[in-house]
Formats: sequence, C-alpha cells, structure tokens
Amino acid sequence: MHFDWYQIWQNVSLPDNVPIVLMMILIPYYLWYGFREAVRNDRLIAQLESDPALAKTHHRKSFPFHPAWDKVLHSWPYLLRVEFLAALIVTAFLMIWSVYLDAPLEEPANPMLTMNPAKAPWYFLGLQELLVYFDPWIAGVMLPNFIVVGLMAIPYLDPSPLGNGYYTWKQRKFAIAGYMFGFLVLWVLLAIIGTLIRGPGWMWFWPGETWDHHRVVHEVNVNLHEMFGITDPTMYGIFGGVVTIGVMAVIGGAVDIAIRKLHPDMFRRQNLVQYLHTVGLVALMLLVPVKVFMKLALNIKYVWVTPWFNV
Amino acid sequence: MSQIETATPPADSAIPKDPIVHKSYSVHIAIASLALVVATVLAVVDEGWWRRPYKGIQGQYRETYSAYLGKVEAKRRAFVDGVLEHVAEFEALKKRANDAAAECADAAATVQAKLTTATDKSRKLGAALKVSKSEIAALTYESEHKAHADGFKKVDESPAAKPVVEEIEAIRNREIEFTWTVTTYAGKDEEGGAKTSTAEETEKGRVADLLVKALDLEAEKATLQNDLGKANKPASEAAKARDQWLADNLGNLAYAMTNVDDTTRSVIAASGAAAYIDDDVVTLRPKTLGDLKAKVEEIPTGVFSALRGDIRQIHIAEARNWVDRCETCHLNTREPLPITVDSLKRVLGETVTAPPATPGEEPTTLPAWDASKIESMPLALFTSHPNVDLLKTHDPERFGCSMCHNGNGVAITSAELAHGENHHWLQPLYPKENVEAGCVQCHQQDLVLPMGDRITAGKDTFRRVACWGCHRYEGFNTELESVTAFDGRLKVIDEESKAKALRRENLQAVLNALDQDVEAQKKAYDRDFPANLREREALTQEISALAVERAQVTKRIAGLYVERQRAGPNLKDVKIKLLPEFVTEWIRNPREAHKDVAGNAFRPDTKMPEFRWQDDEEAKDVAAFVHQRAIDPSEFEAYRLPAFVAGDAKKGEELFNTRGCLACHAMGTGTAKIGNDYAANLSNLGEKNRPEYVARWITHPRERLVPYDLKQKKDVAGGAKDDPNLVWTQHTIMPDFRLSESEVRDITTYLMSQKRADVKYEKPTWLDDKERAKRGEKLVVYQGCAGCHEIRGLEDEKGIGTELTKEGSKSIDLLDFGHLTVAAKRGKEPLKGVDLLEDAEKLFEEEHHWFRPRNFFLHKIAKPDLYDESKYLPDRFNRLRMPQFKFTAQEILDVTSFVLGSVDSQIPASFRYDPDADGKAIREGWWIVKKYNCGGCHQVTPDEVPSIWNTPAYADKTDSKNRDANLPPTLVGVGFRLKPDWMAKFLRDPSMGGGRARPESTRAHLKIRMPTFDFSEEEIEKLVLFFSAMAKQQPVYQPEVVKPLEGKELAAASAIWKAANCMLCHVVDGQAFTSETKAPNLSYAPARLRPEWMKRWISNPPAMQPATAMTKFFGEEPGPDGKWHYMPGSKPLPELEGITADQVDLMVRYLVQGLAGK
Repeated sequence: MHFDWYQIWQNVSLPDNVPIVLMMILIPYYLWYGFREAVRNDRLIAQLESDPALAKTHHRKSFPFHPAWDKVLHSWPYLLRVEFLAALIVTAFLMIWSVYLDAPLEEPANPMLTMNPAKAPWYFLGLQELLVYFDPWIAGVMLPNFIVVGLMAIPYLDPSPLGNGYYTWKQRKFAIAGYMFGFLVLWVLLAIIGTLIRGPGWMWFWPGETWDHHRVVHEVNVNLHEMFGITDPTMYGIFGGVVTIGVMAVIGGAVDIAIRKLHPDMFRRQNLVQYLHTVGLVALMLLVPVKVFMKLALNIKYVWVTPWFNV
Repeated sequence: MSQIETATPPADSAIPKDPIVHKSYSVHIAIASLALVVATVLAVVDEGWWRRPYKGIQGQYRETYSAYLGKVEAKRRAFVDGVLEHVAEFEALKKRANDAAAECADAAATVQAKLTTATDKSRKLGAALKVSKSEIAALTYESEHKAHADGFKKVDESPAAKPVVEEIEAIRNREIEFTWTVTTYAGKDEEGGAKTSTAEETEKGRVADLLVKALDLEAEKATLQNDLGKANKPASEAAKARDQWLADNLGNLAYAMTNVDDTTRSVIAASGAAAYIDDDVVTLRPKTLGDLKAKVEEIPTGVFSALRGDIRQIHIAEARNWVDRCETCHLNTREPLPITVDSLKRVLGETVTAPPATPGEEPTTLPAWDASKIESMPLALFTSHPNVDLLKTHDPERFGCSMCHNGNGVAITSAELAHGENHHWLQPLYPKENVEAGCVQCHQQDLVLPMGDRITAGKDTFRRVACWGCHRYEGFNTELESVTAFDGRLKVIDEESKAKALRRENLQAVLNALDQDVEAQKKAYDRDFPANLREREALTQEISALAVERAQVTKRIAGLYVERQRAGPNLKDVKIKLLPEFVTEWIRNPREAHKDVAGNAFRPDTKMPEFRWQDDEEAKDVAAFVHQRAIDPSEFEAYRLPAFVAGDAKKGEELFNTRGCLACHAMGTGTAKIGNDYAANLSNLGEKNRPEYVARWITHPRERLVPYDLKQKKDVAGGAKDDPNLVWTQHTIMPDFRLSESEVRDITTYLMSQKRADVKYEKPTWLDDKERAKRGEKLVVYQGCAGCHEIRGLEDEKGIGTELTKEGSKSIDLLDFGHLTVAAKRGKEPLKGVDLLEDAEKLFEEEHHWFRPRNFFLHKIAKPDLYDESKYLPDRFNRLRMPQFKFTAQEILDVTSFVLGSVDSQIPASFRYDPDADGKAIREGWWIVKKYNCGGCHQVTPDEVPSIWNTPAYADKTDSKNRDANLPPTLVGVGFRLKPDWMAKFLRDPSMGGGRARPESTRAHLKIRMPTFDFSEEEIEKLVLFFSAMAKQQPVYQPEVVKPLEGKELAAASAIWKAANCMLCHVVDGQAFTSETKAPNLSYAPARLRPEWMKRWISNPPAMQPATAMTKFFGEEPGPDGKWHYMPGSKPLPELEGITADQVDLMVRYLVQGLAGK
C-alpha cells in the first residue's frame, strides 16, 4: 500500500477538521512557551526567596523583572490594552477564516440513511471515541459528568493561590501534571484519534491508509471473563466485580501513596473529604487509559458484565 | 542568575523602564486595526459578490442580451419591415390609413376642441365649488346629528337643527364665479397638425345651481368623448387594418419577396434579407422586442448590482412550499424566442447596420463582438428552454424547475450547490444526456411519451432486451403476479359462496319446517318469516353474483396466460427443434458462437446476452441440463412431428419477403441485412433447426404441442382447450399468418436453405451426462435462465435481479460500487481504454468524479461485472450475475435515464400525471401496440416509418401512388374510421372467419397480410379504446342513423357509383381482385366504416390521408348551396338532375345500404 497523501489532505482540509489540525500545532507551541516561562519564573522565585530582603518586599515574581519596578500594576490599562490587541487580532482572524472556510453544514438529513463515518463536532470527538471503549452509559453520561463535576471541584480541593498571574511549574506540579494528563491525553489525543484516525465503520486507519468503506478487519471483542472461560452469569458477575474493584483499589492505593510521597504539602493541607475526592478523581482519570489499553491491545470489550451495567 | 543585576536598587538614572508600563502598543494596535478593517472589507465583498455569483451573471446577462436584442431589433427593422413596406398590398393599406386620418382630421379636431373646453370647464367649476361643497357636507352631518339628538325628528321639523339648516341654505345661495378656457379649432397648421385658438370665459351663479351644472358638464363630456370616437372611426379602422396586416405577415419574408416588382426584389435581394427568411427571431413584433429590451435593461449594472441582486424564484405553495430559484441565473428560460448558444454567438458576432428610427437620420452601426468577449460570457445560461411545447403542458409557474430536473432549487451560491452536486444531496441534477429521467416519476407507465424521445427509447430498449426477465418492474411481465392476485380472489369467492350457500340452506330448512307446522308458522310469522324469506332471496342473488364474478375472474386468468410473454424460446422443445451440436457453443457466448472460416459468427446481433461462464465446461454442463430437461419425443405423441417434405425455396423466399415476416425478423448480416431486429435474425437457420419443427412453428406459433397443467405443474399429453388449468398458449408473440400448407412448406424450405458452407460443428458427447446436467441445473438457476426461457421444472422461477421500479431512489450509499468506491470518488475511470461492445467506450473516455447514482448505472449497464473488479471470489456462486448485453452508447444512456428516473417521487400527488379515460386508454394501448410490434407494418403515429417500408420488397412502394396497393393501411385516425365492434372482431380474427382457406378479409389484394395474434379479450378491448382515444373519439360509439335510398336518389347514387368506376380500385364480395385493385372490399363497409368518417373521406380523401390513391370525385369544396356535387369527367350525369341532397351523403347511404346485387 502506498502512502495515501490524497486521503491525508482530504482529512486535514475538511473545514470541520481544521481546528484539530491547528490545535496539533498550537498546543505544543503554547506548552513549550508556558514551560519556558515557568522555568524562568521558578528560577527567579528561587532567587528571590533565597534573599530575605527581596523575598519580603517584592511580590512581582515573574518576567519582565527588575527589583526597582512597581510591585503591583493596575490591570487597566496595562493588561486590558494587550487584551484589546488580542481581541482585534482574533476578530480579524476569525472573520477571514469564516470567509474562506464555510461551516461544514451538509444537506438535509436523510432519516433513512446514516452517514459513514458519522462523526460528532470536533470538540466532542474525544467523547465519541470513548464510546469505543466503554458502555454508552459510562462513556456518554458518567464520564462527562465526572469531568464537569471534577473541574468544578478543583477550587475546593486545592484552594492554594500560588501561581496566580504568573507561570510556574515548581509551585503547581501536581495541578499541572493532572491537568495535562486529563486534557492532553484524555481529551485532545482522543479528539485527534477521532478526527484523523477513525474512518468508515469507525475503523482504525493509520495516517496514509485509504479510508475504504469496504475494508474488513478481524476484530472480535471478548469480555474478560470469557478469556478465563467463566460462563455462569453469577460467577462472571462476581469475577468482574472483584477484578474491577480490585483494579480500582490498586490504582487508588497507588495514587494515595504517590500523593503522600511526592506531594506531602497537599496531603497535609487537605481535610479527609477533600483528600478522598482528590484521590478518587485522579484514580478515575487513570482508570480510563487502562480500559483503553485493554480494548486496543487485547480486544477486551467489558471487564464486568452484569444485567444492569457493563464496565 | 543574570536576570538580577544587583540586590540593591541602583540610582534612578540607571533603572531601565518597565516594559509593561512604558512599552507603546500603538503600532501593534494600528496594524491590528488595519487588519480588522481589511477583514471587514473582505467580508463585505464576500457577502456582496463572491457569495452571490448570480449578481455578476445578471450583469453579464444584461450586457449580452441587450446587445443581442438590439441587433435583432435592428435586423428586424432593416430586413423584415423594410421588405414588407415594399409590398403593394401594404402600401395600399398604409395609404388608406393615412388618407382616412387626413379626411376625418377636421371633424375630429373640432370635437376634440369642444371636449377640451368641456373638460377644462368641468375642472375649473369643481375647483370653485370645492369649499362650498365641503362646508355643506359638514353642516348636513351636523343638522342630521342634531335632529337625531332632538328625539329622532326629521331635519326640517327639528327646532335644534333649524339654525344649521339656515346656514346650509345661506351657503347654497352664495354667489360664486369661475373662469375657464374655451378652445376653438381653427383649421390645420403648416405641418398638418391642428391649429387652435383659446379664449377665457367667466360665469357667475348660485352654488345650488352650479352644483347641478357640474353634473350636466360630466354628461356633456361623455357625449363628446363618444363623438370623438365616431369622428375618428374611419381613421382608426384603417390603421387597425394596416397593423393587422403587418402583424399577420410579419416575418413572412417569403411572401413579401414574391409580392414585389422585380426592381424592388433585386433591391431586397441585394440587402441580404433573404438570409433571414428562416430566422424565427426576426419575426417578433416590435412591441414584444421593446418589452424584452426594457425588461433586461432594468437589471442594474456595475457596483449597483451588488446592492440590488435580483433573486428570481418560483414558489409553489401547493407543493409543500417548493421553491426554485434556477431562473436567477438561467435568466432566459422562459423567453418567448428560441435562443440557443449558437444563435447568441451568431448574432453577437455580426455587425448590424440599423436603419434610423426616424427618417432622415444617420443609420447606426452595432459593432460585432470579438470572439474572446463572446467566449467570456456564460452563454449557456442565457438560452431559452429547448422545448417550448413541453413547457406549455408543464408550466414552470406550476411545476418549477427542479420537480423535473432535480437539483437543489433553493441554492444560489454556486452552480455545484444549486445543481445538487454535493455528496449527500439526494436529487442531483439530471445530466443533459439523462435529462428525460425526470419524466419517469410521473410517466412511469407511459411507454411512449410524445415529447420524450430518449426516455421512450430507453423504455423500448428495456422492453426489447427483456431486462424485465430478471428485474421486476411495475407493469412489465406482471401477468403471473396478477394471476396470483386473481387466484386469491377466487379463493375468497369460493369461501364466500360456500358460507352463503350454507346459510341459505339453513334458512330454507327453517322455512320448510315452518311451512309444515302451520300453527308454528302463525306464531312465528310476525317475527321471523318475512325476514328469513327476504334474506334467502338476497342470498340467492349474492351467490349468483359471485358465480358471475368467478366466471369473469377465471376467464381473466386464462387471458393473462395468453398475454404472458417470455423473451426467449421455450426450451422444452429443444430436442425436436434444434440440432444437438448447435446448443453448447451458443450458450457459451451467443454473439460469438459458431464462426465460419472468415470469422463471422452464427448470429452476431442476437439479443441473448453473454453470461461469462467460467470455462467451456460450464457451458457444456448447462447444455447437458437443457438437453436432458427438454421434452423427449418418446414422452408425448404430439412431439413426434411428421417428416418434412421439401417445397420450393424460391417461392418461399418471395413469401418470406412479402407476407410480413420482415416486419419483425431480419435476414442476412452486415450490409446485406434486411428486416427488423424486433425478433430473431433468421440467417443461417438451416444450420440450427429441424425443418419439421419450423414448419409446425410457422403454422401454429402460439399453440403448444402439449398443454402445461397449472395444477399438476407439469406438461400433460392433452386435454380440453377450455380447461382453465391447462395453458395451451405458447408464451411468444409470434402471430399466425394463416398460411396454407404449401406456403409453410415453401417458407420452411427457404429458411432451411439458409446456411453457411464452411462451418464445422463439433459432435457433442456430453449432452447425456447426468452429472453435468446436475451441475448445469445449479448454473441455470443461479444465472436466471428461466427469466427469459421456459424450462421444465423451472416454470415458476422468479427473476433473479433486483426490483427496479424505485431503483432511482436508492441513495448512493446503497449502491454497491465494490472496490471501486474510492476510484469513483477520486475520479479514476475504470472503463477508460477498456474494449467495450459497440461504441460504448466513448462514454468512458475521460477521468472524472463518478461517484453518483447515474454513473453507477452507466457503468453497470456497460459492463455488468465491473463491480466484481479485484474481488477474490473462489465460489462462482458469489459473482455478479447480470450478463453482458450488447448496448450502444446511446442505449446505455437511455436505459440509465429510465432506471435513474424510476423513483419514489417526492412530488405531491396533485402534480403527477393522472390521465383521464382517454389518457389511460392511450397509456395502456401503447403497451400492447409495442408488445406486438404493430409499428412494424402500420403507422400508428403520423411520422412513423414502419420497418416493413424499408425492406427491398416494399421500399419503392411507400409513395402515395403505390402505398394503398401494397402496404398495410395507416392506423392514424383508425379509431374514427372503423366501428369499434368491427375493430374488435377484426383483431380477434382478421380473416373474418375465413381461416386458412380464405385467409383475407378486407384487403385481399395485399401480399402482406394481417396475421392472427390471438389477443386476449382484454387486449382487444384495450386496443379498441386506444385507437378511438388516439383518434379523439368517444369510447362509446353511437352509430349515426342512415336513411336508406329510394327512387331517384338511389338511381343517382348508382349512376355515380358507375361513373366514378369505384370497382376499378375497390372490390366487393365474390369478385376477384385485379392488378388495379388497391382499396378495401366494400362489402364490409356497412359493418366496418363509420358513416361520418365516410362522408369526410369521400368528399376529400387526401385531406385525411395525403398518401392515399383515392382521388377527389366531388371537387375541391362544396357548391354554393353548401352541398357536395359529383364532378363528372366529361359529360354531366342525367340522373343527377333535380337531386337536391348532398351527393356525398347519397354515396354514404348507398354504401351503408349494402352492395349486394349492385
């Protein structure tokens, strides 16, 4: 099979997919930019804090920096004028975009016919991708709810004001790592897979493969208990429960140990309710890729099959 | 840590400025603002022009079309009007108009002056009275109001209203004065116009009087207006006559050119006007042209076009608010003049000198557009609809455009979107070559569409090559389905009859019991007896009605088996029909089978397609199966045919060429081919057939040797002809020509002599192999041979193809492009350079995106196994089954149109074609006319050329002198000519009971012969209704009552009969025809012809049928008394003296009376 550039071009040039392609360039750039600033700031902070005089008197902990400059600046006009400039640029950019790339609206829907592949809007493609790995109730209802609730809970779980208004890595290692895992891996990566990798029949097409509607792949999914030859519904219900809860317990435990070891400050600061929530949410976040791996590498459909729900 | 210079603050002068505070963003903001402005301008331009391509198109339209109209107008003035003005007749009219205008000018001007005076006076008086009138009106209301408030008193009697009434009276008595202009006619001025003098006049009076005067003035004005019309009448009438003449003769350059004197003619000829004689465009009226020009010049040009784009849409509320905006770009669609790309190019490319609008001025020159400018205009958008007549019955105002053409009628942002050329749009525009696909949704059941040549051809091909053998399609080959439905009805009838009979018996028993027990009867009488009796009577009637229906249904079922047709021959007869060595190779590939040394195949033009067997073994298997499944002569006595005795081949050839065989069959190949492809080409028949079978076939084509028993589902030795369970009819449409035994023998001998000398036939050794037959059966069933052929054991096999009635509605994703999906989407043409049959390659010469339903069908029909491409199919029973037909490019396009248009229409029912009784009769009749190939011998519509006219025996006999003497009569107007009952009788048996002994009835002199088709009764009825509807006759015929002739009138008619020598061309019963005979037997006339037709025919035969040999015996037109008179050749007939009746009428009565003994 030759490398199908035509297919690649079709995928990336589709107006619906352009944001994803832009995202693939912009996210690494801003990641790099943010970390560069963070590292510089961290060094500055370390230096300032090592000097008792400066540490006491100076609050400006980011670049550009000079010990003699004002410690605090008003947002008007210093911040707002930059924001205004940004607004001008973004408005112009969006107008030009909208002139040249039309919204990917299609013809009136035909209720007799589903398009193939049928894809959600680009910002939901990550969620749609999750449907491959989870029961629709989990992928479509439970996980999105955890995302929303978890994001809302962050200020209550971690009220530390450190890092407000400046880039820093050292002061917010846990928050940044957690967020990057959730956003980059569980959201952006899945969206990219959903956009550029999933073709007709929601089959996995590597870049350069032709999206052939007639492709047939051998992909027989099995439930975990079938791999172990358990056929009795009660037995495999219990088996799945034990495995699922066991894995959750192991990962939860690992998270607990990791936090105590690597982030003792937070452990000290949080009360029991805050701590349990933190551990629970992080553990859940880590469980998602476990299931993704099981499905992709081992073709495991469900771990825990019950008449009421499947995990 | 280089960022921190020092731990202590340095001196102020050394501190650098904080960039956050001190950095200026002016330049950044200026640039960004500029970018925003640019983006805004871009958005406006995008919105105003780029997204509205029609605005530019409308500008181009204005430029192109107004230039075109200007030139047309100039040409019209230069050539047409110029020429017409030279015609003496027109000059006379013009002069008369001018003279009349001059004559009544004085009188008219006098009246006009009076009218002007009266009008001015009335106007001025009205103005003078305005204030008073208003005051009076207001006070009148006040007085009435007060009188009402005063206890509903009358105004005159109410004290409260009195002061107001007095006020009104005061106003009415007020004196006012007004001045008006008096115009007086004072003769003509130097230029011939009216000279007038004016004077002022003043009048004074009471308001009350003046109010009355104003009314009088109105009446005076009306009278004067009327007088003016009268005074002008001669002038206006003469002008009207002049204009009417111009209107009538406008564009009639041919007339004008012949009606001028020679000098003028040479002037005209030199001007080049003759070149425009055929130009429709120059015949437009000046006003029409002016209106068109004014309309096109309303379109704004330049920058204003962006502000005022004109979306032209058709909105059809009744069709679920259907909206079509096609005419926003296709601006000339409904233009009244025929405009094509060529005509636009031609006119725009010409330099035209326009004569001056008013005499004396310089002529203007309209320069020719150069080629690049013409090319830059989208001329195709400015053409008119190519079929104006079609639009007359399908008014765009009612039907829009996209109902027929498909596409997205609402979209106007680009041609692709408007034409629905995007992936998911379910109704993309039908391409030009398939445009008639749009007809099918409403005219699915109309085999012939008068304005749809291509779709008619598509349906014809579909029917001719028997696509319906495998594919179900509503209306085609549905007899067996009808039989199933009728069988169901029979079951219901039987059950109902049984139930009713039982109920009646029970009632009868009760009634009987009551009958015997008088006491009980008395008691029960009031309650049950009458009701029971009534019910029993009703049941008796119902049972008898059911029995009648049962008989009708049974008859109809038998009729359906008569109507049933199969495209291929009955394979049960193979053993007694064919030589065994012929079969195998034929099955392998019919078109290529049995080549001679020169490489010519046995029958290269056969309809039988190629089945793409895997190898020769499969063909042998199938041959073995067919051979073994055929009926063996040992099974039935009837299959042991008598030995054939040879006749005269020469005579046979003559008969074959003249009797009418060639109306359906062909003979010879290549350039030597004659006849018609409707049925098999009979060349080389001697290589294939057994003569005794051919002879039997010609004698009784539609009768089986042994009947097929529907109950036992097998062929049986014999039985009653009217047994409803026995099918005696062979499923062929070959008719019986009622040939005598010796004629059959001669023709058979001739056909059997048709063989090539240099062909080798291999002796088949495999035909009796049982194993092969078993494999063969599987193949036969898989390939659907039973769709066209009758095969023992497979009589009830269904077609193997997919149903096509709604195939065009399948969305693209439901059509299986196989591994070619990606190729189709990316525009790779798999058939490019592939060797296809006929000229089909030219359809696939270019690479283009072909992922469209239309192209799916195009490829499928051209190469049916295409979508198996690069598939791994080790099991041959997974392969695509459709065989390879031999289609030309045009046939592929036409069949594609038919399939593509076969949709489940989205159009509301009120917009679909719903024929009336006549339309229905025509729709149904065409199926039969096409099925039996009536058009092979007869003209069914006026311009048709029956194929028999093109055979050598008749090619020189189609002119009016020979046609009647040699060829079958035309069927145009036959519904007006023949009485319906005669027509039915004739169709049932054209020999009128003569059979083989006297095979002819009305036209014994013809060598060609109307055969017996063995129509079903329903087919006969449909045909009769068809012909009467085609001739615009009522379906129920009430013959005119014709009075018999007596005495003098009879003598007169008889004299005409003799004098006109009718018997020279006609014959009557008992008289042999001669070499002069060219007309029907008149003994049949009373039963056969409609008197009203005879009247019109005898008076002027060529008027009804230009190619007839019958001449006019009664002059050109009726005499001054409105009656037709016989025009004798030399001397007048004494018998006609004193005859006052219409003499054509006499002849009709004479004929209707019957000719026995005359």
